[in-house]
Amino acid sequence: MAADTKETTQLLLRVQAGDASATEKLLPLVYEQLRALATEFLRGERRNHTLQPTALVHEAYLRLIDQSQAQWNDRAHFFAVAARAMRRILVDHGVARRAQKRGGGNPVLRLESDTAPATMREVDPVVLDDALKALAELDERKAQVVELRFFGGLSVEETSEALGVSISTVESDWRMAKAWLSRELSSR
Amino acid sequence: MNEVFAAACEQPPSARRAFVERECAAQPELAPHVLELLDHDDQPAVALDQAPLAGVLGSMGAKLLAAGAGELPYRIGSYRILSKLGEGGFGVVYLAEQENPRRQVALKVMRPGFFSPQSLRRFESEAHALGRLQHIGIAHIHEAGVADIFAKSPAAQGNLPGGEEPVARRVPFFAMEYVRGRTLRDYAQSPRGESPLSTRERLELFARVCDALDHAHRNGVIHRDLKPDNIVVEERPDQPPGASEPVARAAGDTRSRSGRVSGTLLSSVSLPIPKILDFGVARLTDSDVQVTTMRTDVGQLIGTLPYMSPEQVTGDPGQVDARSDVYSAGVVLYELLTGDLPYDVRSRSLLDALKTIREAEPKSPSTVNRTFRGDIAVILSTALEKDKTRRYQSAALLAADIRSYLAGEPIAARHASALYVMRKRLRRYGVALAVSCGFVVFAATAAAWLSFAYGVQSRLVKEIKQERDRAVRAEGEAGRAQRAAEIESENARQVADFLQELLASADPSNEAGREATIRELLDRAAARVENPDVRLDPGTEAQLRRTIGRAFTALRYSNAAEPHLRRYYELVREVSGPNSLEYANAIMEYYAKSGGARNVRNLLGEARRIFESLGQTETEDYATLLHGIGIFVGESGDLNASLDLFKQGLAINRRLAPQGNGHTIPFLVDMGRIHRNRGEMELADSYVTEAVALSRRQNGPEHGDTAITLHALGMLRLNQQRFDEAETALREAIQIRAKVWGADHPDVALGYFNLGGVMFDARRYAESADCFRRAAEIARGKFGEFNIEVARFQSCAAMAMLMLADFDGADEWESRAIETNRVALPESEAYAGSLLQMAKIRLGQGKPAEALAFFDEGWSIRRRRAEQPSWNFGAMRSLRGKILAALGRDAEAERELLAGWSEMATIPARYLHRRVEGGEALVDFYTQRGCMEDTQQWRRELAELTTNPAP
Repeated sequence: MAADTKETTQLLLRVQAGDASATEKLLPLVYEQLRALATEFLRGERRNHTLQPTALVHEAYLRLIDQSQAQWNDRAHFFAVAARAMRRILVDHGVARRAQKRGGGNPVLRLESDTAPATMREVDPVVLDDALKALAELDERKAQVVELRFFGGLSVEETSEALGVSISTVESDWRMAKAWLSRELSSR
Repeated sequence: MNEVFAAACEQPPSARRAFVERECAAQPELAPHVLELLDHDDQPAVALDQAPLAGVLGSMGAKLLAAGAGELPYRIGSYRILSKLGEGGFGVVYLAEQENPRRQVALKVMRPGFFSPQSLRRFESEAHALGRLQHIGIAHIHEAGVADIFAKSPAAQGNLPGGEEPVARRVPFFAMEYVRGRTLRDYAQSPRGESPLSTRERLELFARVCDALDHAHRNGVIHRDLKPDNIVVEERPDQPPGASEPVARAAGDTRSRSGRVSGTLLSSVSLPIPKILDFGVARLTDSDVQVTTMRTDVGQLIGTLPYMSPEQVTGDPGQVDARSDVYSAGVVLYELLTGDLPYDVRSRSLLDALKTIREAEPKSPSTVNRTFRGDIAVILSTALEKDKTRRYQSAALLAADIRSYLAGEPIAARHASALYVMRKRLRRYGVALAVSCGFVVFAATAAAWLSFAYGVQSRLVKEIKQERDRAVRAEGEAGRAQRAAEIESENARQVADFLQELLASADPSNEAGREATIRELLDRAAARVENPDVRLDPGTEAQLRRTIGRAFTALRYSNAAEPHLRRYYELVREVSGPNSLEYANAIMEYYAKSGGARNVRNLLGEARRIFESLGQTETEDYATLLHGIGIFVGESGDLNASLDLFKQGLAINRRLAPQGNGHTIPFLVDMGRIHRNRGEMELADSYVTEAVALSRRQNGPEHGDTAITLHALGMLRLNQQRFDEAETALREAIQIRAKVWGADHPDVALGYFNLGGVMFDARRYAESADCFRRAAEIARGKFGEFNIEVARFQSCAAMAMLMLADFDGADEWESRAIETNRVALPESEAYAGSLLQMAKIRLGQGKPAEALAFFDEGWSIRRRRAEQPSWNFGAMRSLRGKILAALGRDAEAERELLAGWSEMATIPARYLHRRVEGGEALVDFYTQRGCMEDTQQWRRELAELTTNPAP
């Protein structure tokens, strides 16, 4: 991962300034970084960490961005990009898995517990990705909240920071988006 | 909506509904949406914020671990990794090489951190038990345990500080027999790159899976995760048994262990071998419920869920036994046959899916594919019983039923009630069917169907099968039947199922004491196929239409057959296209079975064009086509052209079947007919006698076609005035028809009718009258009183009785014929003939006034219809003269009698008696009036006529 932190930091600053093309350039770099981190992690090279998107994203930020160059609130923009990258990694991975499985394309089911009524299922990133696209058509901000919270592992505060909206807005968006997605995904 | 939702969330749950309804008062359509979202808020179906990615990243990690560029582990335990085979539910599968014994194995490696030390111990002991399982149909587990994973070769290690350091420790693994092959599902789709397996092949293959499953069960091992991905079909081209391959080793082991099984094994060495993988693995990985719950790969459950038995999804491990595997096997079979799952569980929430498995009835396999009805449906539903005590109690019983089905024997699971219905009816139909099988499909159907019902040991089944085989042979020589039999064995099963359903739907108690006929059965089938609620795809409908049409035709109900066969070719045109050989063949079928129905001539032209454009002119179908066109050409009057076409067709047939076959016979019969009508009796004789001999040889003495040839022979002998031979031939034809189609069949009536004609010409009028009356009565029984054929037969009976001077008898029969003809055919020759004959009868009864009334009415019709005068007019005038004479109108009578005599000068020898009658009428006329000279003169004329009859 010999990503040049100078380059990525510059890109991040341009993202923050509203340069959309910078996001497109930054994204693959973050993607690679995250993938490498996950691989390291799974090889047991980073045993002291739990496998959580938050951890990966934070770690990627530390590796990619020159802290001395960036402002604290640049981090939120990085997270937004990282959440998108994470989304792509997971979706790509899900698609690859489906391609391996004949007759795939089904939502992933998972027993939540064998005593409690098994009403919950873990989300298949590919299905969620589709549902999020549909949600973005209706309400783009809610879809962004989900992307940041779910794929990026960002906290409500970080999300509010990244989106530039109030914490209560993130909370209510998140709550309604979850209900909406729950309905959407259970009807598929 | 956002605001309402957000505000409602602030309300206590119990108050939310009222709150939403109040808030949405302005837009009431919004309320249900908000309420639904609130429900999901309350009880989300997806876990968006519960450490959501751990599982996904976990499985991704396993993949990355294995698939990272050049990052294949070098060694796992003592196994050297050669390549990655795939990624299973709980980890990665490698192709690996074992040191000792040196062999290739499939090495399954669990994801790191999968097991607690306690569950690892259990894992090892259970794996040991699995290792003892030996069967050619089960991928053998060589070893199971835990091992460390090493990433680098020993040579490379030197460069690393700290020597050989495993990248992962104590990873559970299985070393399994490496099976080269494809999953059952893949294999069934394209075995060795060929076309998909037939249903029969699928069933045969699957029965062997059951054998393996049963072996494991008898050894106390339950699979617990049987699914198509876990069944691999091994393909070993030309590999001799005993080669040092793992599978051959397994076969060898088994041979030494069990003599009974080894027989199966040795004989199946060249067959594709289905092998069950991962036997008992589910148990191993299930052994720690906590581990399973927390860590089972999300992807694995989805792959497994549809195959899980109700007792498995209930989550009580104590309930799971061998019968749970039988259930899973049932799902696998269902999917193997239909390509679909018995329940749609994949698109549901987990809770729904579990509920479905526990409660919902499986989709009827016939809704997926109409082929799968009858026994197949019963086998599947028995395997998929919710209550395991009602399931097949072992995999062996499932296999046994599949094999019974394949052998055409009754299956054990067949419902008793259905059996009762079938047995009761089939015995009836079977008897009739056995004698009426000049056709392939219906016999095949009946055989399949009877064997379903009560077993191959039945004599009837055997007879019908023989009959079918005979029919196939008859059609077979030109390759046509080969094709037909192939299509139809599949088709027959479909149709058998259709008919079976039909029969099962009839309640025998409703028809107590009444013998249902095949005709009724077919009518029911016809009604069913017409029923818009019975949805059929065009291909299947075409097949059914054809079968029903054929069955009707085989019973000589051409009219009933016609609409079905018409629909058949129309459907084939839809399905296969207007220029396809299939369409041309369908036309030929329609033509062959429906006879000279509407628009056939144009259709035959289409078929001819297709055959010729496809170069299919040296075929039986093309020959038959020429025959058909020849018939039409002949009917429109061009006998030469007709004969030419017959000759062409016969020449093709002779080249294809020098010894003659079923298709030769119509040519011979029809060419014989044309030659007979032309008076070329020698030629006619040679064709017709060949036809009789060929049909006797080809079809046996008791066959409908033989009856037809005998009929032709009878008519020829009649023309030759060889009445005794004509009688013999016709009587034999009648006998055959009565036996084959029943004594009350219209063709039997027709036989008696023709025999009556022979007797009439032989002047055996009493026998003639008898034959005509029988013909009339049979036809009346079939078609009712009001039928023109019946009227024709009645009128002929009256004619013969008239010759016997039985005027009252003749009156009775002719009156009935007149009644029918007056209404049905008021302007017809038939009606005119009846009226004129009635005139004679009345005259004979001494009622000349009534006779004249009948005569004038009949005569006016006949004159309107006749294009030009003929000798027949003379006969009429002569009759009129007699009536007038009886009325005492002498002048008119004499004029008519004399004119009639002259006009009958051209009468054919066959009808000479009519002129004789006319002469006798003159003699009588003059005698009664004392004109001795004239009497003498007419006696001389008469004598001359009878001694020198040539006109």
